[in-house]
Amino acid sequence: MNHAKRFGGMLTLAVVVAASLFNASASAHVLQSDNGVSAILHIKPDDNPVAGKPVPVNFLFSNDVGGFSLNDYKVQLRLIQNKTVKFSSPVPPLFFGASTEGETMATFPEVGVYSLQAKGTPVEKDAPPFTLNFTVRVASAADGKTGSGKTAVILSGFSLIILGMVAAKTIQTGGKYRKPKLK
Amino acid sequence: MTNFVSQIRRWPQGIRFYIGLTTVLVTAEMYWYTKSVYGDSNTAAIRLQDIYAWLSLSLILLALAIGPLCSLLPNIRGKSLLRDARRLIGVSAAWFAAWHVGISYINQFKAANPLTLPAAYQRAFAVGAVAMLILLALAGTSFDAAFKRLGVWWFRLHRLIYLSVLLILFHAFAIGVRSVSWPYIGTLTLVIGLLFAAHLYLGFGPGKEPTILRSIVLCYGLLITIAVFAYGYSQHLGLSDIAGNSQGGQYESR
Repeated sequence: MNHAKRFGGMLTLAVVVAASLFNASASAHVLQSDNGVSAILHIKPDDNPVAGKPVPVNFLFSNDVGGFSLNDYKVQLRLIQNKTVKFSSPVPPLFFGASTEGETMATFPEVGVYSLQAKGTPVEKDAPPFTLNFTVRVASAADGKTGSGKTAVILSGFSLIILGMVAAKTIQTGGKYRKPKLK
Repeated sequence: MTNFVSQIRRWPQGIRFYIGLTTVLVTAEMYWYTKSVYGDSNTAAIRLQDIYAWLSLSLILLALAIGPLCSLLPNIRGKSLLRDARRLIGVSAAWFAAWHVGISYINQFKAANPLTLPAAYQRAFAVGAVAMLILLALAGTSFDAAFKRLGVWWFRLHRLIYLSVLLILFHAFAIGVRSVSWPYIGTLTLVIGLLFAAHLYLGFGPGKEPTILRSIVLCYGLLITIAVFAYGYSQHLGLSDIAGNSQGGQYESR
């Protein structure tokens, strides 16, 4: 039982420490909140927009009190780079009757870091206005990769092969899994 | 102390030691790979938690396959090695699942109050959280001392892995961007189908006399699994509002 407690504690600590190392800035497919309204941004298909290519920008909205409705707002999407609005478009409901999901097509004109802003202006008087800002990085390559990762793949493969060879040799020599000979 | 040192000296003779080392190595290597490919963008974190999630599910299915494999092929070589490896394979699955949860919840969702999330995410998070708790409970009792202390309850507890797999599949189909694409859902259908076929053969095959409990569990398990996959395939056909396959929503896809 002590082993189990120790292992559980170490696992939890490792996860918390390592998770704190991931200090990537706020961006796509993350949650942002303002004035009681939250939204999750999803840039289809894989949260990795390409410069110059129109992509669907999807928002899934909710609020603290429940019952959020897009019909209560006019939502405007803006792509801002270096304090200049590069693109602007309204965000309609994804389909007729959708109350929490809005989508629009957007084009990031060039490579770089953008502030993607969703601003909601209430149509209904008692709905709170909101401005949600997401930081999105647009890469140049069609697959959004900024590096090839070849070195990582090759060295990782080597290390796993060597580990496998050492394991096979040591286990075979140790004889732990050999069937006992019948007398 | 001497006992402890001699115990540690025996570790490299067992497969579990190398599975543990490989797990830690792969964790670091995946982080290195995503950082070198995607740089500092948030895509790196998204890809990394995605990779860890799929590694976790793959290891769970591998661990589940070992039992039926050893039963169906009793003379298979390395049977004791496979059985010995199963424990650390399961623990590694819990390890990768914990990383997936940590990166997703803290890095992407900023540790948000789940009650303020959209309903679709709330459902997926709730289901995923239960699956994660089951995996942690199983990993935490994957020791000889726990086995001895819990007795028959150890076996009952570890049967929850089947429930955990179903919850994980539902979570993946509800929230995973890739999970409902053809290669992934097709592979999952094949693997889960084979596992079920093995269990059905072992339970109801020639010369077998299954107990009523086993019959009920297998039949209901099959029905629930079919239901989960039906949900997954409906997501694939575009009835989803999260997985991103939607071509304009449920009205247009009809």
